[in-house]
Amino acid sequence: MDDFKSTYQSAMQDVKEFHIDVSNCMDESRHRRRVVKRAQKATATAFSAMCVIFVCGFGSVKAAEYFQNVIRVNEWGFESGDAFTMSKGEAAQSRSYVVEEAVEKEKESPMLVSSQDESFIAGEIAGENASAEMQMTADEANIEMAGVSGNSVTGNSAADSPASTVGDSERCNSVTGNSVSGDRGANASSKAEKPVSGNMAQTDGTAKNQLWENGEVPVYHYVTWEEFIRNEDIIFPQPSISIGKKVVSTEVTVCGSWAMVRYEADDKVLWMERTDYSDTKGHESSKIFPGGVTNEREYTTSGVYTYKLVDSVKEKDSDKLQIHAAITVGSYEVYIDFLGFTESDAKKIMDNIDLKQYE
Amino acid sequence: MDKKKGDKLSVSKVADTEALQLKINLYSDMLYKIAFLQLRNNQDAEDVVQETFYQFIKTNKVFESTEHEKAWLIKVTLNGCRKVWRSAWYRHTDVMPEKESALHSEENSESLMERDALQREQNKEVLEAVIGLPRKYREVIHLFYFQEMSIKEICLVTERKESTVTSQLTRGRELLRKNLKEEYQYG
Repeated sequence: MDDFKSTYQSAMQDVKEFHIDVSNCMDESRHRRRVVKRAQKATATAFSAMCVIFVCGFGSVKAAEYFQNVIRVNEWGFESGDAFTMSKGEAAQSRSYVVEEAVEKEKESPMLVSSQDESFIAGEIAGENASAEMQMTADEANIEMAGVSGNSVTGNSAADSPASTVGDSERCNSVTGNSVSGDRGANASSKAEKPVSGNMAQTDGTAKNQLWENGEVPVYHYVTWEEFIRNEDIIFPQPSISIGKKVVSTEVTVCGSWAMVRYEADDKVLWMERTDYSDTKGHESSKIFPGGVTNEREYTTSGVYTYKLVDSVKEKDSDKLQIHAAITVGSYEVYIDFLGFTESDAKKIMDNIDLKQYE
Repeated sequence: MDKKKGDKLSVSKVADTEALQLKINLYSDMLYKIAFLQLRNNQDAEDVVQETFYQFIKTNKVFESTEHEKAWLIKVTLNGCRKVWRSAWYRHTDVMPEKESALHSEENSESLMERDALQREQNKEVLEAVIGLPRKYREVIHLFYFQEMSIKEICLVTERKESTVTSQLTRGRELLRKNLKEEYQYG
């Protein structure tokens, strides 16, 4: 067996001999060039690393932003969605928000015209042609909300449940009471093509019943706030100030990630609804007020939350003022409708809702 | 008077330079082989050796003994090699050892002709096996078998613990045994 040491030493002798002159070693310029080269390489590496970190960080922030909700005001009300879907929609902005059928007066009218008219506040549902009005009996509310819930659910889940029973999955709209009435059966499919209103499921009784029968999302209705608190454990902060001298009625409806409360006090009515989009990958919805909206303005609460206010266009001067508020906090979208409240009252109420709970 | 002083200075300067050249001649080949084994690259090895001697001249360090001086030079050379292979470029570049140009210089061609072809082949195989070792084992194997340094001396130069050097030497031998198919005795 050969000795490794001798073999290795012999092998190293085969490596060429290296000689260097002292003058080469004392060459300052060459030394400086080497130092500069090393420094340049180190700087380039550090710069590249910083660029990568910046781009990745920036990209992460942008990606996160894409999942935040955006609420915009158009001539008919609010449209909302996640930032990504909304930015896609901006590119295809040729659609117009058109109410197909004429707004019919009286019972079908969802207008919040008069406090005396019981059908005005979202209307009582009088038969199958009634719109998704707000004031309704418990039973009707349950049925209505099934449609509402169905819509809200599909509205929520543009990505999750593309198979909306009412049509285009990307056009899922949330039903919010102030939707347009009319012949629902006829309009269901056409409405499905346009982001008109969240009335889709309701207008199509069949669709609504299907949802309800399928039991996709249960709907719960409560007639007192205490009952709601006892049975539900969801985030739904309420104004900490009184909305009127005497609250005549309180109704709460919960359907999946959507919840709505309606207060009637004195001759004023307040609706508040909120939807949690945290479980969705994308959504798009709209809330339309017949007659359109005007006077868009923005305010910031003391908790530094910015919300938008609009007024419904009055058909008659004698109509009561309707103010609508919209705000998005975290993955929640919150809509509040004030009927009979002054602007100052509305702002006070907004300021006294603990929106931080939605974060 | 001034001229004599000037002559004296220039003479001493020349003497210094000559002394330096002697030192460089004494150590340059040794340091080059260490650097070449670490970097597997002629250009980088030459640069490192040049840089080592530049520092040697600049610091003008006073050494206790020749061994101390030798250890210092080896340490600076190894540190210089680390600076090179720590660079991102080097880490991401597959540097192939320049075997042919390093191994067969024109000056040695005649002597190489005289040597046994089998011996040459054996040398090449061993050198490739050592070059193929991981860096830390390569270092220790070379200093132990070629520089004939003791474990303690290797510890001083590489700034590692004795137990670490011993285990690296053992591990290096194991890998060589595996690669060279147990044809050698590692004394």
